[in-house]
Amino acid sequence: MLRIAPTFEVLRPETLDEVVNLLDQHGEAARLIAGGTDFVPNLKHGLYAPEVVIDLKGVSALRGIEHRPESLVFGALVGLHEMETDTRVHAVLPSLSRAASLVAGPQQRRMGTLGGNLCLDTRCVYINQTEFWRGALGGCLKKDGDVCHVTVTGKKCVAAASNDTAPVLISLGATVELLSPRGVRHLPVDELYINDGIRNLALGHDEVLTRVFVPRPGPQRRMGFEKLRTRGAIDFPLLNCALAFDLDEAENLSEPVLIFSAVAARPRSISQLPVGRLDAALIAEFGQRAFASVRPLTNINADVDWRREMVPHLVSRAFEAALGRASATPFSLSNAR
Amino acid sequence: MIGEGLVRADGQAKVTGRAVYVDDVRPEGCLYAATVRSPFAHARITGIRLDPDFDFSDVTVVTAADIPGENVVALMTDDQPALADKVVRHVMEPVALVAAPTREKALAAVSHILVDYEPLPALFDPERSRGHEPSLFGSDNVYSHITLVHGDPDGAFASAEGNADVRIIEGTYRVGLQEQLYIEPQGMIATHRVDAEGAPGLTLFGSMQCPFYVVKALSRVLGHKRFNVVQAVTGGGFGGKEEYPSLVAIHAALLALKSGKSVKLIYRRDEDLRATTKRHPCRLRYRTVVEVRTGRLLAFDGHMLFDGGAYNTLSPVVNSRGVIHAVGPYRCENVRSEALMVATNTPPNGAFRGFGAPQVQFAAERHLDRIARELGLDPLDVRRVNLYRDGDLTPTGQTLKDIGAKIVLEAALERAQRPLPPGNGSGRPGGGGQAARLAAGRGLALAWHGCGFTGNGEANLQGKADLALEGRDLRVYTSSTDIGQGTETIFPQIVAAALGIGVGRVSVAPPDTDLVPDSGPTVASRTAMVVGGVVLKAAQALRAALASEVGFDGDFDAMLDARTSDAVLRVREQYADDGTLVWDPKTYRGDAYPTFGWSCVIVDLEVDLDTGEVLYRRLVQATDVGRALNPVLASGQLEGGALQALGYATSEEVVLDERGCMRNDRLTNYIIPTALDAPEMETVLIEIPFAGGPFGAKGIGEIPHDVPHAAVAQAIERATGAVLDRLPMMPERVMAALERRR
Repeated sequence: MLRIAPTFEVLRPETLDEVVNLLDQHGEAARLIAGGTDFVPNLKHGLYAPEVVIDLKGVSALRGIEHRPESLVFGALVGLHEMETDTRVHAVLPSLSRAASLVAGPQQRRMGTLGGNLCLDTRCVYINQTEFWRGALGGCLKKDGDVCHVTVTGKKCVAAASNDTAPVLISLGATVELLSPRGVRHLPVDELYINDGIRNLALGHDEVLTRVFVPRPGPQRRMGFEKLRTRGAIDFPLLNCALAFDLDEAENLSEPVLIFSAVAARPRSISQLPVGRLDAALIAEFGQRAFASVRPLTNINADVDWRREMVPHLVSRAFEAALGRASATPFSLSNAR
Repeated sequence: MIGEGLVRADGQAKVTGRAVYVDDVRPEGCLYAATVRSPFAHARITGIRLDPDFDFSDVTVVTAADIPGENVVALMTDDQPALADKVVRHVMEPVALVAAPTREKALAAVSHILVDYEPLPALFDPERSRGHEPSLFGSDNVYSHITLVHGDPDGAFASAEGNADVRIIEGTYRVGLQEQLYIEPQGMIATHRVDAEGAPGLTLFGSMQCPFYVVKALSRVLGHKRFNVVQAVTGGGFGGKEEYPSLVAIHAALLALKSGKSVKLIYRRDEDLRATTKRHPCRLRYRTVVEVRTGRLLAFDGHMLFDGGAYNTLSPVVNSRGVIHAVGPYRCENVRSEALMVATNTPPNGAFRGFGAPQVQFAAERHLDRIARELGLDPLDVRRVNLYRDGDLTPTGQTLKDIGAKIVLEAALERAQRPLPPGNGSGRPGGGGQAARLAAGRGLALAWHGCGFTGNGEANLQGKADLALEGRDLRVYTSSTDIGQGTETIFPQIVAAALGIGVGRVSVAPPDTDLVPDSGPTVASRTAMVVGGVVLKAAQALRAALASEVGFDGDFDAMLDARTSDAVLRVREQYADDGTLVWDPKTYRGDAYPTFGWSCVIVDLEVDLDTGEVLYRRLVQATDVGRALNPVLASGQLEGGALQALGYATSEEVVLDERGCMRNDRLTNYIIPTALDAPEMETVLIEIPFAGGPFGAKGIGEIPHDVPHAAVAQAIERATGAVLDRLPMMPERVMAALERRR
C-alpha cells in the first residue's frame, strides 16, 4: 500500500567522474541509492523528497575487495552478503564479517552494501512511521516538527545510529574515502558520524563514500561483535557492541576499544577502559564501564530498563567471541538460526 | 493418490508472482476507498460535516444515512452496524467512507470529514463489565454465559474437605490478545455488473474465507441479492478473514453504489492491525480436587472470562468451544465449566485458529503442571494418569472411542528420544563458552480438538458440493476457499481417488457465489473433513449417474467412452450425519463433535539466564490426523500452526493504549517469529481413521495452535524453576520470573 510518489528522476552513472558531476550539478536535490534497503522504505514513508536519485549500482569502480599488505580495502558497493561469506575477510576481520552477517535478513544482505550500511539513516520509533502516523503527532525534530517525543524537552534529535558495521569499523580504526567535486578526502570512520539524529553523517551533500580502508590487525589483536535484537532476522539492533584489544602471551590485555551503538545518534566509544591481566574481574569492569555510559532511550521500541541491563552481558559475550570461546553466533531472542 | 504428497495446485503461481491477489487488480476507472474511523472508544456522534475548504468534487462520501437496507453486519446477532450511527463503541470503528480517483486523495479526504463527538465513559476491564455501566450489549453486557455441569462437582468439592487423600488445588492463568497476521491485509473490490436477466448489480471480489457470509451480510445492507461474491487468491486468513471481510465488502459496495464506479478498498497494515479482530484475551480460574498420591483429577471447577470487545461477532461460539475444551484431554467425572464472554469498548475480538481452545488448554496444561509441582509429582505422570482412554465420557457426556490420546503421547516421546540438533539454541553451532548461562529444558503438552462445528452445526448447515463432468474432465464447485491450507490440492485428490483417474483431470472452480453452492464457511477445521466428505459423496454420486447413463459401472474412462452425449453431467451432494449424534444446545449435554483430533507436543528450548530470552531448539509433535490426504500439506499445516503458537508463547503481544487502540501496529514491533526463530520441527502423523471423514480424514487446521505455548511454559519451568502462568512470556517477564524464583 505504501507507494513511492513518482516525483524524481533516476540517473544511472557508470563512472565516478559522472557521479561527481551529477552531485555537482544537483547538489541537495539529489540522493544516492545503492542497495536501497534503507532508502526505499524511507522514501515510501515520505521521509525524503529528492528530485534526482543517483543509482550507484552501475559504477564498477565501487566494487571489489582489495587485500593489500597493510590493509583491506572495500569498495562502497561491496555487498553485505559478500562480506559475510568471503572466507578471507572472515579470517582477517572476523568481527566485521560477523557484523555484516547480522544485518537485517538474508534478502536485505543480498541487496544491501557496506557503503549503504555506513550511510544508514538514523532510526527512531517516532520517525520510521507512515506520514499519516507522524502527522498525528505533528512531526518531530527530525522532520516536520519542533519537538522531540523521546526526550520531550530536548532540542537535539536523538534518533539512533543503527548500522551494525559502523561500530566494528570504528573499533578496527578504519577510514573512509570520500569523493566530491572538490577532490578526495579521508576520514576515520569515527569522525564520519556526528551527534545529530537529523543527519548524523559528516558527509557533504555533494560527497560520495567510495572506499573503506581497514588496517590489517596485528597478530595480538582480538575482536568481537555482538548484537541484541528481537528475532534471528530482520530486526534492527536494540543494542550492538564492537570490541577490540591486544592480548599478549601472558594474557595481558592492552589497547582496548569498546564501541556501543543503537543508543544515540552516533556510535559511542566507552572511555576509561581498564587494561591488565584478562580475567573475569577485568571483563566485569568492562561491563560496568559500559553500563555506566550506555543509557538507552525510548527512541527504540523495547523496554529501556531491560536493554540497559543487557549491556554488561553483551560485553562479556563480545569477549567470548573475541577469545574464540563462543561460536560465531548472534545474541538475540532467536540467535542466528 | 490419497496419502501422496502432491505438489500444491496453487504453489507455482504463488511463488512465481502470477497469482492474482485483490490488490493486483485495477478495474478501469476504479476509485480508491478509505475509511473514516473513530478516535474514541465510546462517544456519541453529534454531527458529520464536510470541510468547506476541501475540494470534495471528485470524492464520494458515504455515511450511515446512505445505507439502502439495514445498517447491520449480519452474523450471529445484529448488534454491529455497518457504519456507526449516533454512537461509536470502539476506537477505529468505521464512521464514514470516502472514495476518490487516487489513494492519496482518498486519504486526504478522510481528514476533512469533520465528525463531532461527545465522549462517553468507556469500559475496558472485562472484570467490571457484566452488569456494569456503560451498557454496551443487552441488559448486562454479556454476549454469552455457558455453564456445563457433568457429574457432581459440588459434592466432590464438599467431600474433599478434611480428606487427607485429596487436595484442592487452585490457579489463575491469563492469556492476551493475538493478531492473526495474515500476510495480505483485508481488501475488497466492488464492480458493477449486469446479470443474465439484464438487472444491474455488483460483484465483490476480495480476500476472504467465507463467501456466503459476505452474501448474507451484504444482502441485508443492500436489501437485495443482485450481486455475487468471488474470492481472490487470499494471502492467509487464520480466522481473521472469517467474519471481517463482510464489513469490508459492505463498505466497498456502498461506495460503488453511490459513486456508480468500481471501488477498491485495501487496508493499510497499520490500519488492519488497529481495526480488525484479534484472539480473545482470557482470564481463567481453575479449582480442582486431586488425589494426592497420583494427581488424578477428581473434580474440576473452571471459570473463564473472555473479553469479546465492542461487538458480538462470533464470540458466543468461541465461548462454547472454550467451555467444552476447558479440562484438556483429561478424564474428570465431576466438572463445572463456566465461561463468560463480556463486552468492552475495545475493537471486537473474533475468530482465530483454535477458537477458544488455545486459551483454555494453556490453562489446563499449566494447571496440571501446578498439580505436579504442589504434589511433588512428575508432570508427565500426572498426564498419564489422567489422559482419556476409550470409553471415557467427556464433560458433555459424549463417549469417546478410537481415541488417539495415548498413541500420540507415546509417539511424541519416542520421536523426542532422537538426539537434538547440534549446538546451543536452534542450529547454533558449537558455542560451549555460552553453555554456563543457558538452561535447557523440555516441556510436553497434550491437546484435543473437536473437529468441525459443535453439536448440530453441520446437520443444520447441510454444506453442499457440486461435481461436474465437463468433457472428460471433472470440476469441483464448492464455496470452500483455499487460504493457504491446500483445499485446491486435496479436493482433486479426493475426486481422483474416488473415480480412479489422474488428479490432473480434476480442477477446482473459483469460489464465486454465482457458480458454487454454499458449502459452509472455511473454518473450524472442517474443510477437508466435512466438505471433503461431501465432495467424496459427490464423486460417488457422479459415478452412479454416469453408470446409469451408460448402463454399466466400471472403469471410469470406459464409461466415458460409452457416453453418447457430451452434455455436462453435474451432481450435488450435501452433508448429512448418520443420525447417531445427539446434542442438546440448551444443556450442553451430548455429542459435542463428530470426532476429536489428538496431539502431543514436546518442545526443547534453552532459557538465556542473562537476558530471559527463550531459544527454541526442537518441536516434536505427534498428531492424530485420521488420514493424511496429503502428508506434505498436513505436516505444513501442523508446523505452521505450531510456530504461530510459539509466537503466542514468547513474542506476540498486542499493546493497547488508553483508548484501547493497538500501539504496536507495525511488523517491526508486533513480533512474529521468522524462519530463523523456528525450532527444528519433527512432525509425526498418526492415522486413526474417522469413519465420517473422507478416507478417514479428520480436521487438523487448528489443533497445532492449541498447546505448544503450554509446552513452552513447562519447559521454561523445568529449565529454570521460573513459573509463568501468563502469555506472552516476553524476555522481561521471564527475567522477572527468574528473579521471583531467587
